[in-house]
Amino acid sequence: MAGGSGGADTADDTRTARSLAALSFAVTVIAVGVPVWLKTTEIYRAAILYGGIAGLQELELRVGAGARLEVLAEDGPAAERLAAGLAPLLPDCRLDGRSFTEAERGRLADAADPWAADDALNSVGESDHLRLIVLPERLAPSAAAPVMFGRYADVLVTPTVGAEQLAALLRQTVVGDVSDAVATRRVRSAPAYDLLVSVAAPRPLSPEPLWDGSGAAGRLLEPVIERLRPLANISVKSQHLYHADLGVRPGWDDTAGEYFLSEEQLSLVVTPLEARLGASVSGRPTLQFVVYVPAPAEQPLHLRPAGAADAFLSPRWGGVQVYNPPAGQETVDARRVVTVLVTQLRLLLGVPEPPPEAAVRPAGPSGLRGWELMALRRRRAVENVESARRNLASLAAMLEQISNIVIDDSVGAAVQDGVAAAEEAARYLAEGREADAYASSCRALANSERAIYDPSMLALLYFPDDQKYAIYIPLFLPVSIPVLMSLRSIWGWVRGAPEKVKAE
Amino acid sequence: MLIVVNHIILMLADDMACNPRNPRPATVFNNANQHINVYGSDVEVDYRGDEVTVERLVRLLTGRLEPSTPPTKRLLTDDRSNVLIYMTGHGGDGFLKFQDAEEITSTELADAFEQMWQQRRYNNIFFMIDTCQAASMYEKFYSPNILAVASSQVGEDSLSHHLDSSLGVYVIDKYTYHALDFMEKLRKDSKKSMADFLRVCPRHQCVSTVGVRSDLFPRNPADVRVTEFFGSVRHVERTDRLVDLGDGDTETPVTVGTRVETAAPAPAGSYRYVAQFPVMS
Repeated sequence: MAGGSGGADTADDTRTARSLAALSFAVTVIAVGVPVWLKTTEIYRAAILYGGIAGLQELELRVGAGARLEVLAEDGPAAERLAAGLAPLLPDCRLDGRSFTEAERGRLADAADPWAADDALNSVGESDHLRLIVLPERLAPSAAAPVMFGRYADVLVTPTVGAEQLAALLRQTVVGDVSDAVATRRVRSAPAYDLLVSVAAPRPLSPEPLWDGSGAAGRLLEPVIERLRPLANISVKSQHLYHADLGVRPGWDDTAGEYFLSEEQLSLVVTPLEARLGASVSGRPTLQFVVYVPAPAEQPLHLRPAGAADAFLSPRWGGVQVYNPPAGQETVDARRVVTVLVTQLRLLLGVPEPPPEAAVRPAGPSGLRGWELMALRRRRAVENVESARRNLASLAAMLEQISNIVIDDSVGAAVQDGVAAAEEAARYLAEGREADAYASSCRALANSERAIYDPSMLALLYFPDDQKYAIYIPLFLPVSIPVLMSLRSIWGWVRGAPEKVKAE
Repeated sequence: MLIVVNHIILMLADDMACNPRNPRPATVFNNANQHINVYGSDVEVDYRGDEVTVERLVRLLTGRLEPSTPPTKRLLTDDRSNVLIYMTGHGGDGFLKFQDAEEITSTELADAFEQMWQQRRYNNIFFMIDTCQAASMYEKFYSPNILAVASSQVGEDSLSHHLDSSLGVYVIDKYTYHALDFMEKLRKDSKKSMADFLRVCPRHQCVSTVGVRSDLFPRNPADVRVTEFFGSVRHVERTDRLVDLGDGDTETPVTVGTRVETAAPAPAGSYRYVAQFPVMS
């Protein structure tokens, strides 16, 4: 029938048009709509150097890596023999030996004992790397020990010193890793500190201040602070606390005629005292040093068991010393107080202490020896790089685990700078450039802390992925249902099956 | 007072002490007979009112505060610090309510603790929570070295202790009342262990069952002293080998009490006070 076939043709045409329309809707929703929706709801995440961070974990960091040790002796072959003997025992270090120059020989000729030789060799300037000086034959008998640590960057040894003993001593002090005791005691490495001296006097006798920061005490402390400047910027502050008690009652010893504090009492003293010291406003870590001047009714006050000084320190915090003024004096003896303070400061900074079998020269007014400064710089550089890479690793783990944290450009830049600085520090350390290594390691630590403690790094609260779907499904579902339902008829049209028409 | 004020960070959402309905302003007592004023003169509130939000708490725990935050509002702990966290309020299965407007979920708290662990900001954490269904808050923890105690199990309510008829509200929760009682009897050198503290408020006193989570804690609570978390005991070392500063080339004799006289700077002109009530005409 003509009408029937014409009707069938138009029905086919309309079916084609309908199917194409439905197909265009489906294509728009699936091929255009879904990608646009995913793109517009995605979170900005700056690129993070995961590969660089993983590479940092592989770095082997040892304090002695690349340390340069130069052996000096009367004649070249003796120096080279000692250097060769030490090389297998100190595999990380770079050892070489030479004989004294003419100028050095001339200066040494006048020296009468090993310490004078130490001064003579450093009279024109301190060496920038560690030197092992083999004493000339005429000075050897006056040596106090086979290995002597001088005031500068020199270690003086007798010609007959054993290589194993020397290597062991060097490993313990200059080129070895930090022991656990030192690691728990020393303060966190930072480029600047506040040093707060608090004089606590429950009943001061005179209105004069007991500590004079601009007077004798300041003059004694200044060389120490200057000597530490390559390591950290230390600003010294002081305060007087009146009516500040220790919070514990000392015992009275009749036979010795003195008051005393026992060891258990000492552990209860620090925290109540700390509450009185006040909080600092600067962001720098504070090293607290308290000088306690007992009330006249409790003088003299000593600590039991008796020691060289009535002083103790709390690891990672600071030190407390008890000062008993001699009768009639009203101000503290600056030299005594500063000596104890500098001892405690050295312990808190993690200065290496040689064992008793080595002789150590008194440090002098600067309180710090050249080789100690070198060792501190190396140890801190290693500590900084280890902290930096730990921060970066935990940051990378966190960013990978939480997929909807926004990563700012500043965080990405900080990570990049941190990784570069850490790698640079490790490289300088291996080359023996301690000062550059320390500077780079400080930069690496600062960048890694800036990255991990960035305030923008809070995971999106109340917006996990399932909530994203929960928001958008009520918008898309009414649109998608007809589209999905029409897919069936499109499939039928594509296959060419006859359309199911309702019976008329 | 065993923990000193500068070692406590206190977040109080609603300042009940200064509430206009408080008949004794600036006081919050632990019982109707007004025995102990827990809002005493040495309490320092670090975060109050609108500052107490979930975001602030998570920022405080993870250290991601704004750079301008003062040190007293920061958690300045390191890997040797023992941290005590006490939370109380209204809660439910897996959440704690903040300010009637938001909630902190147990997963968020667990993630915050994990980040603290990654940043090495604690040695041990002791977590106390006193809300309804409090045990659900510690179920999700997965970081090591955490000991947790909750005042009630999932499905139970924590109840208040007694009513203060002069105020018209219930003044303290049962678990907090007995825990405070335990603490007040503690001396600085007390030998009580954490196991004793975890047994505080048994069922016949508290009606709800106290829950404990100790599988993340490496030591036996019976071997850990309460003063490790609540006390002020510090490990100290005696200083013995003194350094010798005396051997200097330029040895200046140090006299006791000398002072360097610095001339005071000349005053630059004269100053006078501004009039208190300036006439603007």
